[in-house]
Amino acid sequence: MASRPGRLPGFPLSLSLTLLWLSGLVLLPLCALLALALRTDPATWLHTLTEPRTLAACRLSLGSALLAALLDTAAGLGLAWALTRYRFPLQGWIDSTIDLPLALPTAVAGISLGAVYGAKGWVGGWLEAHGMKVIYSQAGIVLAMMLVSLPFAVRPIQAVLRDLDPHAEEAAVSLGGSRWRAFFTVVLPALRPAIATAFALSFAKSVGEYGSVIFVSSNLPGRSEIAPLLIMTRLEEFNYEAAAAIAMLLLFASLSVLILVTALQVRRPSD
Amino acid sequence: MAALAPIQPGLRAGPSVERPALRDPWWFRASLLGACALFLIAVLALPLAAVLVEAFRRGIGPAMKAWSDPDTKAAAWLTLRTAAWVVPLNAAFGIAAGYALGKFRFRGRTLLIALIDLPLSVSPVIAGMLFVLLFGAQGWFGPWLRDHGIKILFAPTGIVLATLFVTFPIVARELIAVMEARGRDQEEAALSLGAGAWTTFRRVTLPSARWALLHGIVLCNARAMGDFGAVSVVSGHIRGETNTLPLHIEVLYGEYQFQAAFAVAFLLILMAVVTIVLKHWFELRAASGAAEELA
Amino acid sequence: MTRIVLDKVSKAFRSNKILSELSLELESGHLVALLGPSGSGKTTLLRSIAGLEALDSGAIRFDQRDVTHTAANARGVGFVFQHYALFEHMSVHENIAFGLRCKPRSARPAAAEIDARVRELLELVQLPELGSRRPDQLSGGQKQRIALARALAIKPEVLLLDEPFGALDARVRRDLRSWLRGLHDRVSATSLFVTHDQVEALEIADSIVVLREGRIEQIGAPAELYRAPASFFVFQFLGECNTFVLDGNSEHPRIRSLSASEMGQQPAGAAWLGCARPHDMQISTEGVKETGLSGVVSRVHAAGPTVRLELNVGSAKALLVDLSHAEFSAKMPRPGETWFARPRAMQTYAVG
Repeated sequence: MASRPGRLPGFPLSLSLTLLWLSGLVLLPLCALLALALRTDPATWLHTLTEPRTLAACRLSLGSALLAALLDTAAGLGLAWALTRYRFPLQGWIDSTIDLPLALPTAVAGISLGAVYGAKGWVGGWLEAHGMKVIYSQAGIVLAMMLVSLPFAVRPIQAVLRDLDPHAEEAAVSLGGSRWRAFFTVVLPALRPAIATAFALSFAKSVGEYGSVIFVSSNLPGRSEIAPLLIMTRLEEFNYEAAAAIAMLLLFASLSVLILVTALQVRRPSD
Repeated sequence: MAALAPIQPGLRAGPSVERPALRDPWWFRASLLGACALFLIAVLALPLAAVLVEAFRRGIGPAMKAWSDPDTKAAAWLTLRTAAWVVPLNAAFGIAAGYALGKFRFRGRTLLIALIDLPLSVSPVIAGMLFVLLFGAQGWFGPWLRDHGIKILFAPTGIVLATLFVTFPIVARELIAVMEARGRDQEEAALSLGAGAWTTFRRVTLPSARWALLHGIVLCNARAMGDFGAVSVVSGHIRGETNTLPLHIEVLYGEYQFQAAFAVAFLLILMAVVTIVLKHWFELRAASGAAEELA
Repeated sequence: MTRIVLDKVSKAFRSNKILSELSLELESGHLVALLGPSGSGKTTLLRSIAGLEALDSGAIRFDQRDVTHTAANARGVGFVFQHYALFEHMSVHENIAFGLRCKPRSARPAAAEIDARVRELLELVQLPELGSRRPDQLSGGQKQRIALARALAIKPEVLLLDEPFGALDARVRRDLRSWLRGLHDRVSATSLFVTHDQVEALEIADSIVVLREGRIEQIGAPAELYRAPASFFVFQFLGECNTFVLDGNSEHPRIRSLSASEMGQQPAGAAWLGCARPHDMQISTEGVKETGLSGVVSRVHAAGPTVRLELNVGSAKALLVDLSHAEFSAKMPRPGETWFARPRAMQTYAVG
């Protein structure tokens, strides 16, 4: 490999490998989807996206994902705060545990929630006796989404909190402000981008979540069927156009949230 | 995209311990810690404990029976084979991407990084669907494959491809981040000492990124073994042939063989826990490396 | 011992000219300082000689060998980085041995020989017991010495150092500076180091190249540069100075006022400038107008090797005068008193 002055060697080779792999494995499959979507005539699009079953599925997936992301972000803020600012036993271990959903198969997550919150579950029985149905209700779906998205909600906030300069807060307090004031004027503005990122990532993860949700939902079409399951069903029916249409909608939802959040972060440069 | 920072190098001391002015009032701390504990118990600890307990409720015997069932063994074997293909391939790609995008600046770099991150935002079911559109009977290559007698969908090959897609960014993101953080100094030093291109890469670039690489590999492996949505779409659910462990759990659960399902799930939880333990260890090793940089 | 020749080298980044047709010949065996403010191109120049930066035009020669298009790993140059760039995952011993172990089979010394050389180099940099340590266990000064040993292991013809002591604190910097001079005398490679610290350059270099915005301002031995700076910029850069706005010219300079311009800026509305070091000023109770300036003493700082006076002469900047303690005791200037200060020696420069 010839090297020239001024350049590290190996760029052409590594870039070509990267582009090759990226094109073949990611871009090509996505092109297949895009091509199908563009080939489909608008009438079919409209029909698929407006039929009641699709609307119900999308409403369920998007709505649950929204709720899960909001709750997870709040929990993420609290957990990040406790992990960065406080000291308690087993702190290191608990911090590592938060990453568990990244390594845990979604199917296992699903059945484990069923084991606890199902009708015959540890807690589920007690809950149902008091009229609170978790499994086979939307609560269960939101719970499953929260479980799998947890690390995505905690880590971005934790990273910023950890690197936050305590001097700015101390300055606010020494100038006579209360702790609350210091929090709202110094900490929160710095955390805003991270909180937005946490929300966006949780939402994107939750909206497409499949494995954990189907074990906690009754999966009844039009009532408790999530969008990914509907896509799967359409595929099995060889109705590729419909599957593609719903897939595009889901992709659009998660990508636009991600892009929106990134754009907002870029516009207000945080140090 | 300010996505998940791949490695979190260790925890730093909470300021409240060293800085009295910033200490939260005791009641606030107590309530927040209590709420966090409750949350983690409800969402993580309890469910996982439940699987453990339910798996061995009637002793280890029934669990072992579930594990040694031929379908379970076939599923485990398929899962391992899939990971054996996916992890090295995506690790190799990740190294190439890490080098090209981490050590060099060029126009289009940001776009490439965003494209690499793309599979993370794609639902696993959609990922599987992409391969159906490519290799299915009516897909782009469908007829060609049929004519040549090559089976991709409903066969291990399809599972490997779908899993490759889904785990694609994991190692790459780690390596891009760490190679960018390390900069070019060490490589330039090696070159100035007379090292050739491959020698520099082998003896300087790769070793300086080894903890990030390992970190990425264990996560990639866990994800490769545990994927459900994408594999579900492409596998065809042929019992004993194209079911991976997660799919097999679904089969058992659907047949009301709950205990067997939990027993098999236990194996995967074990895998996840080992993954996280290793991940934590690699982070600590990486952090002591990062501390050197600041000295 | 190699002669380095740079022939009209140029480099631009985007629309920024970093090096402009720079030509330079460095004596073999010398310890040369590349001195200049940030943005002067000194680091780029150094890295170009090492092959770590590519040039847009021009040539670089080591003795008769044209190395302009030779890759960095074939130039036989030893490079020491500002932040050491030690291989974190290797021991100190392995770091130093790296260059030798990379040689092709035919040129590579035997393992035992390599080990012996490493130990020899550790002795040379006075860190003989550190061979098995890892870089993260070393202090900054130690790391820099190991980095030096590593570069010397390959017996380079040319040794290049990029702000070698920039990342160290003041005391370590001073100690290592004179140590480097001693080492250079023992090792005898042509050495070139980049610094923005003029004291460092003046103290240890055989010759100094002052750079400004990609061009050479002046080259010479430290004493010569200090005594007779060729330009206003060099005068200002090499030490403290009082800058006088002059009426008249270099033959018959008449001091009008003290310039208040910042370092590097030329005052507006002046045709000639006079520069004098604080220790070249003398004070008296009265003096001839236009040979100096009269002012009120605002500060007397006597806790140092010389006594520093600050005089308020009606300019935004104070006139600085350094007196020996003897002279100070003889004259006893006090804050609030009016004194006349004139330069014993003054360099004049035309403006523009």
